[in-house]
Amino acid sequence: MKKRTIYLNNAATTWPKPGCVVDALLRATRELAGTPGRAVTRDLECERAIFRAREAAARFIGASDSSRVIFTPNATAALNLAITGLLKKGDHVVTTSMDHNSVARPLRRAEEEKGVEVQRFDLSPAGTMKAEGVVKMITSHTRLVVLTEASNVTGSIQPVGDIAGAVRAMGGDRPLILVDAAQSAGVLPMNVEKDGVDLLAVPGHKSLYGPQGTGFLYIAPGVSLTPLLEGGTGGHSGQERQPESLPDRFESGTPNTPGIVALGEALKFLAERGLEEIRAEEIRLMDILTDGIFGIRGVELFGPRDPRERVGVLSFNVEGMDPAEVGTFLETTRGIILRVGLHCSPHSHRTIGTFPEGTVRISPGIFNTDEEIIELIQGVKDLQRARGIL
Amino acid sequence: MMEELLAVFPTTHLTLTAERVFKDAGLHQRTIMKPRRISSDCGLAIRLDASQLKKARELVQTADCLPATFYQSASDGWRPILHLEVPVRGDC
Repeated sequence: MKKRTIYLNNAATTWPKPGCVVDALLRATRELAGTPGRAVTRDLECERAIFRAREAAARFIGASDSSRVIFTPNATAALNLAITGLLKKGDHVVTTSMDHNSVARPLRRAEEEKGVEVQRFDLSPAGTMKAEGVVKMITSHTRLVVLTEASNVTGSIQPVGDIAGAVRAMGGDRPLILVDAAQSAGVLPMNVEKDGVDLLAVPGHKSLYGPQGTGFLYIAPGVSLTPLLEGGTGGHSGQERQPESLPDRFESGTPNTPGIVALGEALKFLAERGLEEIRAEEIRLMDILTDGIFGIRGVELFGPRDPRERVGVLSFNVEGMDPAEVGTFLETTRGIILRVGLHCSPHSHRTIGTFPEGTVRISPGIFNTDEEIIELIQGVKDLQRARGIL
Repeated sequence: MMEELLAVFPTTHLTLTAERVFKDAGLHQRTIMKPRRISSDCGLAIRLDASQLKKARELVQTADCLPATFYQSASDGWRPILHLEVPVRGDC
């Protein structure tokens, strides 16, 4: 008999995927064998399917022009395109001490290779911040402000709307706002036009419940990026240079048609379920989780205590134990799948004081139940009992 | 034989936007491969009845599917009859 598992690693990638997403992925693989943009009759269905997914993605983030949604393999690719495609010698960037390596590493390369100056705003040990702190770091040379809307270590939410609003109010040569929505897309409401977000990086396979290998970058009007990839786009084939028109400019090569089509289905699934309902359920589960873990002797929680101030991500450590040992215990005794270590975010762990060991991270998704959360809490209690702490 | 129109757009994205707009408005249309004589691009074009020119023109302007060029069927192929010019939507 297959061993039961409790999957609590949804911050890495959500699992399981909704049945309609899996069906769409299979159907597209089986039936949509064409190459989008190459316009033989069969390819048209491919092209239309991708177009519908692009329109759905644009609606989801409040963008009126869907050609500004660029499909990418994941949020990392979207962030790399935004950062590397934008920054030039002499630019100044403000980022925060909760950024993921998918932000920190391209920024580091821009520092080393282009002479870009990067300043990191230090958040509180709880991973929280006030908008004014970031805004005060902006200089006349600041080209970009990078915000991690929700931390993948503590789940803490950054005040994107407040910061973007303050930056917009600067007018003229204001810096651009890039939002890493890896942990917030599909959970927190988004409206790029209303919020004043210039670049938004979204993974398809996390809280949007699409398949792996999907994501997108939104590029606001007036934002000019250099493509990181050039090649066949299916149109403008006679010209030697990469076309200017969107989305073609940033989508060279055969796309992940089955993945994108399934992502479109996932967006439909989310719209039917309703973001408010998803968020309310997440808060409810996180309430049970934080309350249950908080009272266990020898266990330290990180990040804000109030579930409304975080997405569905919670980090903890057990005093005197390596996070990996805790994870192994929970997996072997109760089949609980979670993530331990640095979560590709060393800056965040330095901020909350858990570098280099990291933490144990729990991240429920929409398919987790109260019973599964309670089982995790029981698992941590078992551990402390076995160690003679309880 | 009924005369036909060809609506041609610079990108596949714009063509499919126009296709959706035409479909929503109930226009009789068919998306086809763009004839090589019109363009060397391996793109698409939308075939319409010539009687739908006025409505199609209004729709592409309202929906911002521009620039667009309309061609009419002729004995020697397709003849351009109308070009609606604005900056390419979506340009950086």
